[in-house]
Formats: sequence, C-alpha cells, structure tokens
Amino acid sequence: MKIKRIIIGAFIVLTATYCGVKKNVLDSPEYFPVPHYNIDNNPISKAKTTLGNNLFYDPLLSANNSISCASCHSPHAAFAHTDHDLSHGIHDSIGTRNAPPLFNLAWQEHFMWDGAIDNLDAQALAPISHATEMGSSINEIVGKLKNHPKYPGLFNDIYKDSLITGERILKVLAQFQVSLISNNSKYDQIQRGTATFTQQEISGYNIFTSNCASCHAEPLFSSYGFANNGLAIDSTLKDIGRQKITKNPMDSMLFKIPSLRNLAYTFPYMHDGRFNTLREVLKHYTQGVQKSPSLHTALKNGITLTKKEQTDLITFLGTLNDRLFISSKKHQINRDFFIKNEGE
Amino acid sequence: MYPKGLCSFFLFLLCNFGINAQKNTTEISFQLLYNTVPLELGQSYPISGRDSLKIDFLKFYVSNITFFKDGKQIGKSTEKYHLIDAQNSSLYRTSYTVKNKKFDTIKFTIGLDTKTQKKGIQGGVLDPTTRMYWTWQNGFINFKIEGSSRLCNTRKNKFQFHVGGFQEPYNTTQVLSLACVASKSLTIDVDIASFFNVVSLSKTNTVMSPNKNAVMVSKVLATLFSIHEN
Repeated sequence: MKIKRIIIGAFIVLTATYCGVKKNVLDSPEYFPVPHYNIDNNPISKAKTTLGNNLFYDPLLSANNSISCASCHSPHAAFAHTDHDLSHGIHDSIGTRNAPPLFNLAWQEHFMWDGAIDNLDAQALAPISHATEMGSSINEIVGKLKNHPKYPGLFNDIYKDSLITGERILKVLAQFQVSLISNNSKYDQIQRGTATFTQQEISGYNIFTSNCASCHAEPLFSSYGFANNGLAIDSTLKDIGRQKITKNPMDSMLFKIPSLRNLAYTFPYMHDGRFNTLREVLKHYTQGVQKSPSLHTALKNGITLTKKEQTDLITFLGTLNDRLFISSKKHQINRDFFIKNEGE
Repeated sequence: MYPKGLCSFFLFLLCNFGINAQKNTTEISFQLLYNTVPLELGQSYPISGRDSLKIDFLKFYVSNITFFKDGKQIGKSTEKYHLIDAQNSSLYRTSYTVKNKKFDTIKFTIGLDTKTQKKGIQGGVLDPTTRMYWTWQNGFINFKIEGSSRLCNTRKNKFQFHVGGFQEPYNTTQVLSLACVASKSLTIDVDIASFFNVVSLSKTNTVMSPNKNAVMVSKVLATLFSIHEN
C-alpha cells in the first residue's frame, strides 16, 4: 500500500516536472506557431540565459573590449540600432546594413538580411569575426573568458566543469536570444481576449490583411522568408541581398522580410535604413516600387492606399508595439555583474 | 564478498570481450604527403620549374568511414568525425573494429555530410574554435589549405582555399570509395603535390565561398587520396 502511494506520488511529481519543463521550453502564447529552433540541442535553463545575458552585454566580445552585442542591439530599441541607418562597430567603422531587431528568433529559420546563416547558434560568429563589427574571433573570446575572474565559475555552474568552448559560448548566447520573446503588444492582448481594437485599428487591420499579410503574416507579422519589395539598389552600397548567397539572379534584391512588430522602436526601416518614418515606407509601397523580374508577386500590380487608409494602417501597426518587451528587466543588463568586475 | 566475486566475473568477461574485439581491429592512418615525402608546413616546395610554394595551414574533415564487402556494408566507424590537421602531425591514426575483417572497400566522406552541416554549432572536433566553421555564412569548411607562392598575384602572394558548401548546386562534400585488401593496418595517402599539379596557382588561388570553383577544387582534392596496406 505504502509502495503504491510512493509510486503514485513519484508519478505525479514526474508528470508535473515534465509538464513544467514542457511549459518552460519557450514561454510563448498558444496562438504562436511551433518554433523552428531545436531546443533539444540546447536545453533551456535559467543559468544559461543569465550567462548568455552577461555575454550579450559584455564588450569583452570585441577585439579591444569596446563593443558588445548590445551596442547595435539595444533593449530599448527592441534590440535594434535605433536612429542609425547603417550600424557602426569597432573603431567607429560603419557597416553596410541596418542592425535588425532581435525578438521571436526561435521562430526564424534564416538570419542576416540576406539569410547567409540559418542557424541561430552559429549566427554570433558573424558579428564577432567581422572586421567592422567586433573584429575578434571565437578563439580570442575563449582565451579571454578562461582568464576572467567570473566566467569560468558560471560555466562550471551550468556544465559541471569549467571548460569554456566555442560551442558553449555560442549556445548560451543563443539561449539568451531565444528568451527574447515579444508577445505583449495590444494585438497580443486582443488575442488573449483582454483588449479590443478601436474602429480605426479595425480599419487598419483590414487594410493590413488585404495588402501586407502575404509577407508579414500573423501572428509573428513576418513569414521570415525573402522578398524583393521593389527598393532601388543603393548606388553607394550596391547590396544585391540574397543573390550574394545563392548566386541566383532571381534572388537579386531579395532581403529577409522583417516583422512588423515593434516598429515604433526600430526605425529607420529597410536593410539599409533608408526610410525614417512609416509614412516614407508607405510612400515607397504606393509610389516607389521598382519593377524587376525578381519583384515579389504581391507587389506586381502595385498597392493603392488613400491618405486615410495609410493613417488607419499606421494606427493598426501601433497595436504591434510591445512596451513590456522593451522595458522588461530580465532582458536588460545585469549591472551587478559588471559593476563588481570593475572592483576586481 | 559475494558481489565482489560477481564483479570480478563481469570484469573477466569484459576483458575477454576486449581481447576478442582487438583481434578484429583495423587501424587506418591518413598520411599527408608532398611528392611522396611526409608533408611539412612552412617548407618550401619547388613547383613548375623555377617557382616554389609553402603550405602554412592544412586541415580537413573525414567522416562516416564505412567498410564494405561485395557491395554490402559490414562495418562502420564508431567515431564519426575526424579532423586531420597538418599542424599536429603528418600522420593521423584511428582504429576500428570490423567483424571478420573481410572487407574489400572503404568508403568515407571528405568533409561533413549535410545532416551534420545543418546541425550547426557542435562540440569536440566540430567546435568553431577549430576555425573550420564559416563565420559569415552557414556550415563548415570541409577542406582548408593556406599558404603562399610567388605564382599568386595576391596580397603577400597568399593562396587560400576554404573549400566548403553543402547546398546544391555548390555541394563540395565528396564521398570516396577506395578498393583495398583487408588487413590490420591500412594507410590512406593524401599527396598534396598532386593538387598543385592540377590547380594552377596563377589562375586559381582564392576560393573562399561555395561556388563553381569550390566544387571544382573539391573534386580535385578527392583525387589526392589513395590507399595501401602496410
């Protein structure tokens, strides 16, 4: 009898643990699709997310300890680089693209504006190694972390040995990035039944569904595929987008489709930050689309929107801003970690 | 007392098994050569008459070593990935247990298969600190050779072959089958000199991304491998 009770008890505990683990896999709402990121390769833990957070904010990742990931991916800008058309890195060098915001990354298959990388764990290698971003290398970072007063202990807490490898660094960084989930906008509250659209927002939503949704699909507000949205090639940057990776002329000027979430914080817009306002973006879609063989089919016949329709659409887009996400303490710098370092 | 005896018995069984396993062990070595002589990094090698070249860096992956008899797979290496690095030694040794040992063909991949490539960041010999993972795009470099020669009209006369790419049409992963006579010890020679006899450094000296040249170079690299028993 006692044994039976113990077995039942153990069963309940195990089930609860299992459900708990399941729930903690990714803290995302039911109306989100199944994430693309394979968590089995990098099991989630709070310790890893915290360590990843520290690395994300640590300028030690750059060659001269001046630039951190957060230099171009600021939490208050939904982890984009607000107010910079092109992002700048080490020694004030200017890059060739606008740093994209970081949120809902677990649902994305491709990274970088041209989709050069399709593995979130590997993505950090690009900015770490790029001469105009952090100008370092994963080997250099391994060396610095090994000699750091705090990091070996933190790796030890997670992996039960203080070994610091490239794989471990990249996976904890990815773990922090995966934890950046934006799902608390007004749109999300409406999905959960705790808020309702205004008349103007409904009008904007209808304009969105008939003109924008084929690329910027709900609920992530991007299919996260690639499209040529009719931008003229910038004569100074000569960026051909996805074609650089695939070498396929039909991929000329295709760029990764960004999400429409958090637009209020992530200006300027487009891969080269050429538009400062949403008005300018809509002017492009209604008047500025350049015809070319690779132009996305949804834009071939042009988009026509009256001034009022544009205003309604922009009002609707406002419901996708997630203030809780950009102000969440858990995504921000852990000041204690860095302040205490200075004393050591 | 009783459990101790039982342990000893299992230990005895285990040892016995170990000895049996050893009987079926085949050792495979990869020998890096330059013109039939063990390759040395930094050494000046003559090429096309008056010119010379130096190799500073040479690393490549070999994976999925399998053994065949009459076209049927009879054994597979337990260690899936090997990173052969000229910096360590020109000779790389690895051994496998092949039942009955009567294989007639060894098949292996030069580089890493698509599944491994797609899995991204991994540990051990696949850790990105090996400098074999691209930093600016997907996947691993399968074969990397760097060095210099006056034949190269490049900065510091450098040649850089970072041969990788697993997505069609630029798949650089080569699978090689080499016929052999089953024996306890086999050596796979990799003679790098042949590479520079085919690839003219004055024309092709920089391959850094998956493209037509990378595929061409990967096919040449596959011809460098030959097998013999010891």
